Amino acid sequence: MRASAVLIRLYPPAIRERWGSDIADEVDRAGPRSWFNTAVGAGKLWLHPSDWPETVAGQTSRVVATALVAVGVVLTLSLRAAGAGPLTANIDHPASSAWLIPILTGVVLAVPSPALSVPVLGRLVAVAARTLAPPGLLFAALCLVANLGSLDSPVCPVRVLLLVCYWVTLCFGGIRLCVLVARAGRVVAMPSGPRLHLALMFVATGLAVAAVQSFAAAFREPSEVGLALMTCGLATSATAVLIAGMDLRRR
Amino acid sequence: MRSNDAQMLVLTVLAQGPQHGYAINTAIEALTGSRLRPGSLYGALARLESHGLIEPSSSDTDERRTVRITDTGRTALRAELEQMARVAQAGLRALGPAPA
Repeated sequence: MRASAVLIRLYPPAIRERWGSDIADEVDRAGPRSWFNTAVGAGKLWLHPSDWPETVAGQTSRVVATALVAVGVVLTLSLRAAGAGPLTANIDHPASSAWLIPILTGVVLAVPSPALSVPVLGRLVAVAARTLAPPGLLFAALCLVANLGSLDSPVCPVRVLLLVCYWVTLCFGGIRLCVLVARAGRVVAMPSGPRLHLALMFVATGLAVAAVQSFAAAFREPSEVGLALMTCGLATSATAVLIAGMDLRRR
Repeated sequence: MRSNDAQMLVLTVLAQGPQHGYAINTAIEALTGSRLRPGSLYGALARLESHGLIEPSSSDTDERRTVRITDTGRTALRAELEQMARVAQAGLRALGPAPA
């Protein structure tokens, strides 16, 4: 695969559709010295959704909502990988998960709201079933294997295989969830610009609170490299979502 | 648009007539001696279009998308160039005559 084809995939869909072939031509002619600038240009455009030329009605809202769900999925998988930490709620300290409230509020605001009519709901259920059935089946198969009993203490290669299957299933489920939001956007009404702006503000607030919480924990335990990485990731995500949210207000 | 070189270069080139992305960059190269990198050029084009300073000038079926400057774009470019000309004149006056 050519580098230009990979680089073009980094751009928001509307930009790809409008300028994709021209960008590829420029990258092919300029060679490797243009790769970094092309990738940075893609990143900047993701932060400015109001600059996207809307080639299909509602495209910007659909892509922003999908991107927001993707942020949620990545965050969930990262927290799952990090295990119990300063951001995980427990019964003694329920406030440690307070950051989740604005994030969930934002995600709820960003997801498409179906009109209450039987045909629309029917189409939505069909899309959801078609999209989520493969990861659902995978997950069911994993649960079945885990509860067989014969694999209580698997040997090393089998344990590694099960672990890989588990993470592949989780990642696949996350990707299909994003696909579901993108597909649902073609069936039901996408949230308006102001609502998406509000959604992004809520998510940015939640991420910022989580970043502060994680930073406090990293400050207490400076030897924990994972905590420092998590803080950086959360702070970067919060900033990116905040910039995109502020930009959406302009639309 | 103020102080954004890439956007102003694109508008200056488009003031001569509608062009597609590659031709815009070739004209910029003729004007300045170097081409804009793809990220800068297409970021500028997207931003200018979102601000209504340029618009598509050909049908969507064309392989290459041609864009043209709008009336708002011409007004904005003129204002920017006039301001730059004033700054250039003031700077040259302050420098005095060029040494022989």
